[in-house]
Amino acid sequence: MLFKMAIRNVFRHTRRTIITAVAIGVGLMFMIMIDSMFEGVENQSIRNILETDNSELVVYPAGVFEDRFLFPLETLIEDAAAMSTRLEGEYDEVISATPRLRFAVFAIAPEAELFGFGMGIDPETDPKVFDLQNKIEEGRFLEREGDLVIGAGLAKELKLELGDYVLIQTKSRRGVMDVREYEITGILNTSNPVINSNAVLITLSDAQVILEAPAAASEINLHVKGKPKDTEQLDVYADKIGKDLGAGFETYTWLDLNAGLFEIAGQKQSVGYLIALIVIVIALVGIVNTMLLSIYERIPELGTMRAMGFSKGNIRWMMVMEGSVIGFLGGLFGVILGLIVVILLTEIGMDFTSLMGDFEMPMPIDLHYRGEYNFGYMVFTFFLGWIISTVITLIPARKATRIEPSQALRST
Amino acid sequence: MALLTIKDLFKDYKTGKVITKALRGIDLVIEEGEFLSIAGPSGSGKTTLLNIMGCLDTPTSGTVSMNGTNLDDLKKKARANLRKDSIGFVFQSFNLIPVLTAFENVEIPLILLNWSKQKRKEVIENLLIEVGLKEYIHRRPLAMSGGQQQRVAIARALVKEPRLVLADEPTANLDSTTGMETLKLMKELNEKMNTTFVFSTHDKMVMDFAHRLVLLKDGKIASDTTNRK
Repeated sequence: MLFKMAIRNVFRHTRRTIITAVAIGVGLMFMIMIDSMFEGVENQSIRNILETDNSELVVYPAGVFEDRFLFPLETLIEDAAAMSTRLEGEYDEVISATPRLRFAVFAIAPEAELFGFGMGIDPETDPKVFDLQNKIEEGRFLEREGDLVIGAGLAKELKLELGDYVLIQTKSRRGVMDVREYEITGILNTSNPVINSNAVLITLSDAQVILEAPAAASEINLHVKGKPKDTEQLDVYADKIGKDLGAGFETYTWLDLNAGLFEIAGQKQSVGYLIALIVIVIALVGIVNTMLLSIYERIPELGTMRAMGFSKGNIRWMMVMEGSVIGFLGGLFGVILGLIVVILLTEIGMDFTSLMGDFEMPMPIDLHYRGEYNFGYMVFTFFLGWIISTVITLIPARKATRIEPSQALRST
Repeated sequence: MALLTIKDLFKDYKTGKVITKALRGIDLVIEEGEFLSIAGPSGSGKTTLLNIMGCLDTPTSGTVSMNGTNLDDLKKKARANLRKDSIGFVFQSFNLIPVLTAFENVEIPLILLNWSKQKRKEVIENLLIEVGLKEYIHRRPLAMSGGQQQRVAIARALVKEPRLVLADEPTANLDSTTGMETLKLMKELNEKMNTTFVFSTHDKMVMDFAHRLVLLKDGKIASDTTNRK
C-alpha cells in the first residue's frame, strides 16, 4: 500500500516530477558526456603515440632514459638489427620489433632554419610496429637511402614543399659536423605534434652512416600482445625482457615514456569527481525542494496517516520511495540523453579543423575529435543518480516524520 | 460501563511567551455505546479535548483513562497502537488520502491490522454498500461529493470496529441535508455496532441529534445534559 501511495504521489504533480527528474537527468548526461570526451582524448592520444612515436615497450641502453630528449649518441644499442630480430623471435609476447636511431638535427632551408630531431627508420620493419607509412600527406614513405620524409608542421615553418631540397646538419658520434642535402620525398602529417613539428625521417642505414654509428640504434621498439591500456601486463613484460637482457639495457612502457602527458588521466578523475559533486548538488536541491513542497502540501494528510496508526517509519519509507522513484526516472532520462550525446560524439564527432586553423594541439589528438563509448560508466551514473536521490530524500522524510498528528490536523 | 474517564484535565498551549489555556479542569465520564456531542463556540476547547481523548495530544495535567488504562502512562508507540486498534477518526475536511480510491482509503486501517486480503475485500465492500457508496467503491475522493467523501471517512473510521469514534465537526463542511444524512448514518452505526461516538460541533441541529450534549465554554464544561427526545 505504501509503495502504491508513493508511486501515485509522485505523479500527483506530474510537471514538478518531470522538472526534477529532468534536472537530475541533465546532470547525469553531463557526467556521461564528459567521461566520453576524456575517454576519447585519452584513447586518441595513446593511439597516436603508439602509431608514430613509441611502441608499447621500448628497450634503451642502460642510463640514457632520463636524457633521451638530448639524443645522446655515446651510448647506443650496438648491432641493433640482431637484437631486434632476437627479441621478435624469442618472446611470444612480442609481435614485431624495430630499431630507431634518434639524433639532433639543424634543418636549413633557403628561407628558414630550425632545430628538430631526426629518426633513422628501418623501412622494412618499422611499418610492422608503427603506422607512419599511412600518415604520408604528400609523396611517399621511406623506401631507399637518400629519401627524406619531413613533418608537415616543420615543412611549413621551413617553407618547404615536396621535391624541395633541405640541408640536414648533424654532429656524428665522434663529434664531427656533417651537412648533407636531401630532396624531400614525403611529407608526413600525423596527429602527434612532436612528430609533425620536429621530425625529419631518413632511413636507418643513412642515419648510421651520418652519425658514424654502424649497425647501432638508440632504441628497439616492441609491438606486444594485449591492450595498451593494460599497463600492469606491460610492466610484467618489461620486467621479464629487462631481466633477460641484463644490466646493459632498460625496458620501458609507453606510459613511462609519456608519464607527464598522461597525468591527464588523473585530472580526468578529478574533473569526474567535480562533475559528480555538481550532480549531487543538483539532485540534492531538486529532490529536497520537491519533497519539501510535497510535504508542506500534505501536512494534514500526513497527520491523518499518523492518526490512523501509520508509524514514523512507514511515513519515512513512503517519502524515500517517492524520492527514489524520481531519482530512478532522472537516472533513466540521464542515461538515455547521455547515450544520445555519446552516439553523436562518437559517430559524428566534433571537427575543430577549421576553428583551430594552423594551431597545433599540445597533445597528440586529432582536430576531428571523437568520443568513446563507456557503457560501464553509464550504468554507474544511473545508479549514482538513483541512489543519491534516494538517500537525499531522507532529509525531507525526517521533516515529515517530525510532524505531530495533532498539529498537522490543526492545519486542515 | 465507562469507556473514557476524564479527571481534572488541563491543557495549555504555549506560543512564544503567550500561554493559551485551552482546557481548564474538565471532568467527564463517557459510557460505552454513547452518542455524545461536545458543543461550544470556536476556541472553547472542543478539538483539544477530542485530540487528547484520541491520543493525538497529551494533557498539561489531569488524567484520561480508557477502560481503566491511563493514557498518559502509555508511550508514544503504545498510543499509536491504541489509535490503530481501538479509535476511529472522522474529520471536518474528511481527510481522505486523495491518491487512493474509496476502497483503498477504507482498506488502510485493516492493512495496518494485518487483515488478510480476502477478509478485507469482503468487509470493506459490505461496509461501503451499507453507507450507500456501492457505485463509488473505486472512485477517488476528488471524484466524489463532500457527503460521499464523509461517508467514506465514516466507513474508514468504523471498518476495524473500534470502541471509540471521534468526529471533529463532521458536518461542518456539508450542507444541512447531507449533514443530517451523515448524522443519521452515524447514529445507525452507533446503534447497530454499539460503537461509542463522540463528536464536536457548534451546529444546533447536530446538538439536538445527540443523546448527550456536553457544552464547553472557555475550556470548562458549562453544562452536561441528556437529550430525552
